[in-house]
Amino acid sequence: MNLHHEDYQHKVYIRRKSPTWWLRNIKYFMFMMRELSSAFIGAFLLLFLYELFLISKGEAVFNQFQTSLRSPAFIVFYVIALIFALYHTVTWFGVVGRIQQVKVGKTKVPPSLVTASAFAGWIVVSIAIGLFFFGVI
Amino acid sequence: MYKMDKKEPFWWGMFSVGGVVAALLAPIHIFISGLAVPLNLLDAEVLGYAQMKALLGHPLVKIYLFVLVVLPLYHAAHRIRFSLYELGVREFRISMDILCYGGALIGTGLAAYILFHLF
Repeated sequence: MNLHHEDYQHKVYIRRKSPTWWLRNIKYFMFMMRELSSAFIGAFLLLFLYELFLISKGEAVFNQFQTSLRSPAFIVFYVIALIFALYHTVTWFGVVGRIQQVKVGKTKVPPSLVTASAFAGWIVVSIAIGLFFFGVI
Repeated sequence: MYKMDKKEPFWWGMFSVGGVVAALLAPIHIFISGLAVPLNLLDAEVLGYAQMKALLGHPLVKIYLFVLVVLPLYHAAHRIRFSLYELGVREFRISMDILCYGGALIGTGLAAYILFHLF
């Protein structure tokens, strides 16, 4: 028997998905929300970068924009962005133990310990940055 | 023969590193930038012009801010690219890779210009 790949005419099967498949159940929905979290984090960072840019435009321009950031619309945006960012943190560090194998010497660190350390690290880093701005450090 | 894709591992690596930076740093920065002042936890002066300008004078702060802003953009580019596929969007006339990763590259250029040229 002599079968060559070229003999076969492959037809690529494209499964048609409805654009709303992710609304069908809560797991699919949360998967999409996890993906969407990155867009909110990105939007916040671009806004933050714009604030840094405005520093170069002088004090009056910068302060005016800072005042507008305290408006209800922006506060709603920040609240939503924070919820998405926290969801990203929880999902990201939640699986890190299963994705990243950590070895100390020859013994494998259990995944739950890797995840726990990641969360502990996150809390320490967040507190350190918080203290920096609150003028303690 | 299966041709090894050399680009994909690079973008995946950027997605991964960006995901770590976002997970570690995004929540606290969103809280401080957007919510700490309206909640009366932080004096607006702390995030004011003089303070921020002084902070930007420090090279380590610039590098930190560059990492904070840039790496999660690659993370977002990767996730947006695959979400669009998941939603059934096929290639546009411009490749989706160029659209998504190109956006992250433009963001990198802007961040470099603002942080290292303007200040």
